[in-house]
Formats: sequence, structure tokens, C-alpha cells
Amino acid sequence: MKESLIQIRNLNFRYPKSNFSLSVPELTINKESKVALIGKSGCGKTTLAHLIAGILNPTEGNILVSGKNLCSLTESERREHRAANVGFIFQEFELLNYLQVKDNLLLPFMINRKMEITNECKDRAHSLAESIGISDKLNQYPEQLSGGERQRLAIARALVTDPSIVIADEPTGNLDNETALTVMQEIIKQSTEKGATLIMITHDESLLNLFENTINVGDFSKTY
Amino acid sequence: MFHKAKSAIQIAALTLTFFLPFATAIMVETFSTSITERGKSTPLLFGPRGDRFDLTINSLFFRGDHSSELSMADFQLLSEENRGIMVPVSLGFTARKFPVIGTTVDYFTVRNITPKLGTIPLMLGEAVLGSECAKSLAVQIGGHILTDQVNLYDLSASYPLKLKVVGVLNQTNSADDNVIFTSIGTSWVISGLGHGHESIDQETENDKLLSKTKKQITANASIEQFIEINESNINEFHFHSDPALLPITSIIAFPKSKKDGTILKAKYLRHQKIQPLEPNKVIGELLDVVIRLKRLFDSSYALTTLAAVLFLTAVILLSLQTRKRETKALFLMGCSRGTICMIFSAEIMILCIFSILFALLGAYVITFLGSDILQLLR
Repeated sequence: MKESLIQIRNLNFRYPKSNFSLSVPELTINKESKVALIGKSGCGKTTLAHLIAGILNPTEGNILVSGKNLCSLTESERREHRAANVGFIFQEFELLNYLQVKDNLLLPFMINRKMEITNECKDRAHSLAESIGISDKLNQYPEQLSGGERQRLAIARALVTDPSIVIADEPTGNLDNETALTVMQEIIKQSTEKGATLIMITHDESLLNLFENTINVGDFSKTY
Repeated sequence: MFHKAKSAIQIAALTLTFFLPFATAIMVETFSTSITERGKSTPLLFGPRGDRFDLTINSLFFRGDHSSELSMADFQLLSEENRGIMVPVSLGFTARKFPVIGTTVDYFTVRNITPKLGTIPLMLGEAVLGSECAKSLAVQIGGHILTDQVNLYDLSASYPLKLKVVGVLNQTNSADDNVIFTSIGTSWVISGLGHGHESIDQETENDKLLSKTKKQITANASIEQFIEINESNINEFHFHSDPALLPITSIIAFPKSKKDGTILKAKYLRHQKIQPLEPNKVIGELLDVVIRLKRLFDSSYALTTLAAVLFLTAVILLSLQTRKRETKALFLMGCSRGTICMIFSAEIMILCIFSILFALLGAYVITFLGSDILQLLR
């Protein structure tokens, strides 16, 4: 039986001046599990992921991550928590083209003042680069990489801080089925190897069999 | 590559915005210093009645045209006052586009100009080159330069004269660097008031003569005119005019004392023909105009700078807009808004610092090259 990592209790969230609301009475996501967040556009998939990451604060209720209640943290504490515990993979990967591959890999450390780039971090970045096959391209720029290499670099960047949660926001949204499957398998493989819990926002139902759990966020949301 | 090119363009735009006011200020300062020094080193100037600015610019900077003239009689008159050194200056001719200045040896003494090579012009037909003029013309000592024809279509005009270069002057960073000096007599020969030709006597062939009596022989145009003055023909050169009537442009006066200067000035203040001037004061008036113009430029630069800054702000805002996704990604990854602001501010700061450094470097170069640039503009 897997230990629970994220526990949501009586969560209510509303954007100011919006007629959209999200209510999650109870939701538990286990450690190292692979969860897909599905639902129609605008149903609140990204909102729920951002609540779990501590980017948004709920109007009511509690979100516990490893026993820590995010709702009781200040904004800067939630940011520090996010930097240390959450890795992000974006739809367009959002690699910084003016930084070399090695600096893109170490970006999560570089942008957080409380996280130092130690030799251990560099070693981890190097070993991740090796495991995804771009260790010989560390001094190149993202524009010089192939599409597949860029995707793998984005995955490695999400995992470099050794996060307990990886949130992937439709990383296969712009890809054909075959490539989407390859990318998804790579994300699952890497997050499994690193022991991270994967929360994937997706529209692609053909990929759902790769996940242990599927949460239809539309069941929790309401538009007045 | 895109980011590098964008940054380079932004730096170039900012550098120019910062550099132009610096450069103008330095150039105006260099120009002011240069012409003020010239004015200060010329205590008194005497010239024909007329525009005092024209006279000062003509006589001190050898620029512009002059309409009226003084004569050697006026020079004699001033010299006989015995109140200082009087130096006649004769202008109006050029050689390969450089002004030819006829003067006396005293000019070099009072202006403290010494030859770098060769000697100053002592003989008729000799010329000494200012340092910049020598560089441009690339004529060696012993070489020749031909004066420019005044009017190609005037058949009665004097012929160009072949001047022998006998020296090159040391650099003075003044108008003296860009001219050719000759003796005052040579300038009269150039103007056609003096000339030399093969000797005419009773033995001269009749086809070269217009008329011949026992008392007077008149040659016709076929007589050979000398276009060069050398040892073998120097004695053939002569002036048909009364020496006292030979023209000069102005007289630069170096009084023995301040008192002598004041007396000289006062004496000629109401003279019918001669106008006394204190070049320093005339240049001061000219500089007032320059400084007023500079103020106009300054306000124009202020507006240009404001426009450039507004444009760059628009560019930066557009750049931030295009990088909105990058900003959002950084924020989601745990970067604080403060750090994001710092990153973008640092980028702008780096652009500004590089631009200011380049502008200062340019200004530093202008400080050293200012006088050379002014020479080019002359």
C-alpha cells in the first residue's frame, strides 16, 4: 500500500470576479503515483494543479503535501516549497534559448536565492543529462538541439531538484500520437526512476492507460 | 543570435543617444579653446574699415573673402609709430586649394612658429608649408607647388607661380597648420603686381616688341614670362607699382606694452581708412553666437534623448510582452516576482552600462581627436 503524498480536504476555490468555482471535498494522491488530470477546457485542470503546487491559495479547505498544510504558508514560503518540491514540464517546454543547455538544466537553482548550486546539484544535473542522452551537448544552446532533445531537456530540468511532485501541463498537446506516446513514456520513465509523483494535465484519452489514476476535474468544478 | 542582434541594436541606439551630447560639448569646448587661444595670442589687428568679423576671421584663420585692402603705406605709418612689431598679412590666393599667406619673417617670431624641416621663406618665390598642409600635399623640401589660377577664363590674369618649398613648420594646432606661407613680395608676384620676364633691351628681336624708341622699349605678349623664381632669374623680377601702394589685407600688431596697445588703438579708432580691432573681443562675440547655438543643440538633444528613451521603453515593454511565457514559467518554477524584476532590470542595466561605457570611450577618443576633427572641418 503506497503512502499518501497529497491530501485535499474540503477545498473550495474561486477566482476573484469570476463565475467559476472548484470544490474538491476529498482527494488523495499517493507517493510515486502517476495521475492524469482530465476534463474539458476551462474545467479547472490547471487550477487544481496550481493549487497542489502552492501557486494558488484556496478560498477554503486544506491541501497537505507530505503532511505540510500549504494553506498555512505565506506566499514566499509556498514559493520556496514549490521550488524545492515541485518540478514543472510545460507544453512549449519554455527552455531559455539564450542560456546553454547546462544552465537551462540548473535554472531552478539559479532563480531561487535560497537554493545554492552545489557540486552535488551539478553532479545530479550531469547524471540526468547522461540518462537522457544530452551530456555531450551541455555547452550548446537549446536552439541547436533536435525537438526530441529539447523535450528531454525540459523533463530533466523538471527533475533536477529531485522534486517529490512533477506537474506536466499538456506536454504532448502539440504532438502527433506517436511522438506524444514517446514523450509521455520518457516522462513516466524519468519520474519513476527519480521516485517523483507525476500529475499530468492532458486531453489525450489514448494516453490514459499509462496512468494509475485518472481524475476528471470537471466533476469538481461548477460555473454559475 | 536574435537576442545578440537585438541587444547590439539597443546598445548602439543608447550609445548614440549618450554620445552625441558628449561629443558636441567636447567639440564646442575644443573649438572655443582653439579660437580663443588664437584671439588671445593676437593683441591687435588693423585692417580696412568694414565688417570686423570678416576681418578677424580673414586675418587670424585665413578663411573667407576680403573685399577691401590696406596698402604698404598704411603698414609704414603704423610701423613708424614705433609701438611694437607690425606684421603685414596678404591673403587671397591658394595653391592646391590651401591658402597662400604672404607675410614677413616677424610673423613666425611673434607667433613662435619654428620650422620642423628646412627654413622659413626668405627669398622671393619660396614657400614654407604648415604641418597639416605638408601632410596633405606630400611635397618634399626642394619640391614645387603651383599656385591656383584665379580665373581660368581671364586671359589677362597673372600666370600661376611655381613656388619652391623650402621648409615645413612644426605643428601649432592652429590655422597656421593648414596654410602655405610665402614672403609678402611673393604674394604680390602671385597677384600679378610683380613679374619677371626675359630681359628687353636694344638687342631684343623686333617681333617681340610693340614699340621701340631710343628712350623706351615696349614688349608684346610674346615675351617669355617666368612662372618660377630661381637664382638665375630672380633679378628679372620687378614691380611696376609704387611700393607704398602695394596691397596688404591687414596688419597684425604686437605692441611693446599694454599702454602702447591702448595708444595705438585709440589713435586709429576714428581713422578714415584703418580699423583697429582687439581679436579677443571679436572672437568673444562670435563665441556668444556659438554658445547660443550650442544651447539650442542641447535642448534639441534633450528632446532627442527623451524620444530615444521613450522608444527604448516601448521596445523593452514589447520585449517583456513577448517574454511573458518565459516570465510565467520562471514564476511557476519558484522564482519570486522580485527576482524576475531583478533579472529584467539587470538586463536593462547591462545595456545602459555598456552604452554609457561606449559613449564615454567615444568621448575620450573625441577629447584626443577633437582638434584633428576640427582641422578636417576647416
